[in-house]
Amino acid sequence: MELPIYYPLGLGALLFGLGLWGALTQKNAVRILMFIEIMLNGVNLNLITFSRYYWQTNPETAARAPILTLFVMTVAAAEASVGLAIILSMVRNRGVVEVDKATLLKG
Amino acid sequence: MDFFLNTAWVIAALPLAVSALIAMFAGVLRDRAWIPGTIGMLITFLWSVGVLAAVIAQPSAAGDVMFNTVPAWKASFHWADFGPYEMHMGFQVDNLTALMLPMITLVSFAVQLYSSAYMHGDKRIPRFYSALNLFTMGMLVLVLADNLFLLLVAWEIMGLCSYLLIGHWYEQAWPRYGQIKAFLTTRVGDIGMMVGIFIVFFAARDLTWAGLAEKVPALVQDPAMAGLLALGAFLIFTGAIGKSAQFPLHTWLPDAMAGPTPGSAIIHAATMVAAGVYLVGRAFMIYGNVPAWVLAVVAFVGAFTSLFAASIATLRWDIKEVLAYSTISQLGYMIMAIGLGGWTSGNFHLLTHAFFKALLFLAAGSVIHAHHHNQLLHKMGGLRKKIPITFWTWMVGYAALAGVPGFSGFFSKDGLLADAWVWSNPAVPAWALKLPFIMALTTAFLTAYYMTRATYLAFFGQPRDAELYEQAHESPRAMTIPLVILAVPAALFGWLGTPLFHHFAPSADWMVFIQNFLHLPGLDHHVDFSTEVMITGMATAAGLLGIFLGWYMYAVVRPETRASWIARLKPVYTLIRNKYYVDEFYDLVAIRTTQAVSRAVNWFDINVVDGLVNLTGTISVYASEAAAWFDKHVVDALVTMWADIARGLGAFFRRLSTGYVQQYMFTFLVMLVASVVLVQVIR
Repeated sequence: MELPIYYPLGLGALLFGLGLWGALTQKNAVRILMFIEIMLNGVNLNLITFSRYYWQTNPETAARAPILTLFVMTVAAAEASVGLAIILSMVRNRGVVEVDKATLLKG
Repeated sequence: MDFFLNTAWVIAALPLAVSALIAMFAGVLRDRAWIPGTIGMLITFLWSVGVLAAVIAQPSAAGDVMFNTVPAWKASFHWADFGPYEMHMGFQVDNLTALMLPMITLVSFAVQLYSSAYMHGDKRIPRFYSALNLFTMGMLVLVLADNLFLLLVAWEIMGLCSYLLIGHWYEQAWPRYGQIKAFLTTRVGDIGMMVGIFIVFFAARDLTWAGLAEKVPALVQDPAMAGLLALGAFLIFTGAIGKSAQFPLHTWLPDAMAGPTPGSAIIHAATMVAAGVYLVGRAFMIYGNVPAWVLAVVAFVGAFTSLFAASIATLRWDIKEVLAYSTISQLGYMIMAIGLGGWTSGNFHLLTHAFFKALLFLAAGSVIHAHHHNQLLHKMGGLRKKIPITFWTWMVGYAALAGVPGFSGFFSKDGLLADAWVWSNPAVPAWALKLPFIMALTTAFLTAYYMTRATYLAFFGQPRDAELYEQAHESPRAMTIPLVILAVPAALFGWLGTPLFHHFAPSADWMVFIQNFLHLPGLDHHVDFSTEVMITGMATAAGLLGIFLGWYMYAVVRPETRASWIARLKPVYTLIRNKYYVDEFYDLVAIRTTQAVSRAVNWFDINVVDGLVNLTGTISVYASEAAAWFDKHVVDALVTMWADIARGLGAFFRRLSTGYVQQYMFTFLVMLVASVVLVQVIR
């Protein structure tokens, strides 16, 4: 008996919503980064679900089914390192880690 | 010999090169500028003698002497095209040129050697020598020129150089005045000359001497063309009036005395003033063929000038001024002679006069040098014992000018008096035909008188200024040697035309050469022997009478008696003493009229022309102010309006940019949701 597709998709949406809530409400930049990772994980779960349910059932496409997921993971890792580097330099230069203290983009 | 003939251009090129050399190395040469000048001119003189010898060795046919259709040497090149007419530039050497060249270069050499001592200590010696050489070059090109146009170029070069030489001491007022006067007065004649040259070119389509000699006799068959050419010839003669200082343009020459005396010598003997006479003689193929009134005008202008200037010279007190008026008078002789058809005697007098007048000027310079730059005769006296060489050379020049038998001036004067005696001209009424002869004879008398007067006052009698007399000293050898050099031709040159020359002529070629001058086709004024003797007798008597009167007036008559005679002749004396008021007349007519016109034009300029300009300016200012207002309040306002709009929009939208990243993210979320909803709705 297969797991119905609604469960993993629902979990992905839940993770994405949790990440979005955190990214919009938290002040600490590290937390925001972590919530963004949660959002990405939600998305990844979504992608892998679809590949599992639609692409791996066909033997011709089974081998390349999870490729997009792997890309997202790579990009997420790179993004996390870049984000941490930005936060680190922000802390070094300004001594703050809260995003509402960094308002240089204000017009 | 032919070598010199074929390289005759060197005669013109060498002085030009020397002049340029002196000008370029003026800073190095300084007081030594006389060395290249003198050596260069000596070489040029020897070259000229070589050319003369070559021309004598191959004399042209008799008829070619005057119109030189076949010169001994000729070199020309195609210079320019005036429409369909070719202009050629070039040099030629014929019999007349060959005679002129040694005269010019010898006088120039003597003057340059003389100047080495006379100009000693002057500030601008290189300038003086450079101008002297350029001046000589101008005259050499003038006699070498094979066309009227090149002659005009050389003519103007001499005009410039006379300006430079007269104004050598331009710190003083008189030289400045003299140089400008000389330049402007000759310019008056030059304008006529240029128009005359244009007319001749228009009529004959040719300016070369050979071409004119060929074409003019044919052209004058047509009466209208003959009249036109006569006008051209007359206008060219006005150039000669200016350059050769004939009445009424003679006034510049006495003021040319303001320059250094050697400069005066070269202007008044070999070069500038001789150019006018040479021009009329050289262009005789025009004068001899056009209607006779032109030559009559030439003759009467010359005769009147000679008498007029001789009378002024009798009452001058400046030794150089006496010589200046004497030059005008003698030039009048030459012009008269050529006007009378006495082509040979006119040119002959030009040559003899060049030698003895250069000698007299240089001797006068020596007197002035000896006398601490005093030029006034009434401060001199008794100088013959103090400066013997100057005295004896002066006496040679004096004898030649006064017409003492045996000296050069006697022969040339005799020749032109004979021409005056036999004159015939269809344009002149019979009663006036002997007028030039009477005038010339009177001039001969006056010449002897004023020269005796000047000689007596300077060299004889008691010293009138004891202090100056005591300090007087003979000039250095560099000044006396040129005097002696010039005294030789001044004394002997006249014998060239006499039968006696047969016995001394080096070869038969010489006699042919001379005879070609004496027997010109169409102008062979045959004077029988008894008439010749009578004319010579009259001329000699006039000369001796003048000498006697001069001696009597100043050596015998006491000054008080002389003063009482002057008082009796007061009006005449005043008239002559003031040079017939010609200068004053020009001052009144030419200068003051010009000044009045200038003032009127100036008033017009200031009040009308300037007024118009100022009006335009004012209008421009007001128009500009209006335009500025429009720019500022309309054009700028439009531009500013767009800027204000952009700034207002910017100020509005900048408020969206809060700088809070999370607000941006939220906005992004809202927009994403909205766009998804929108897509669903549209679908």
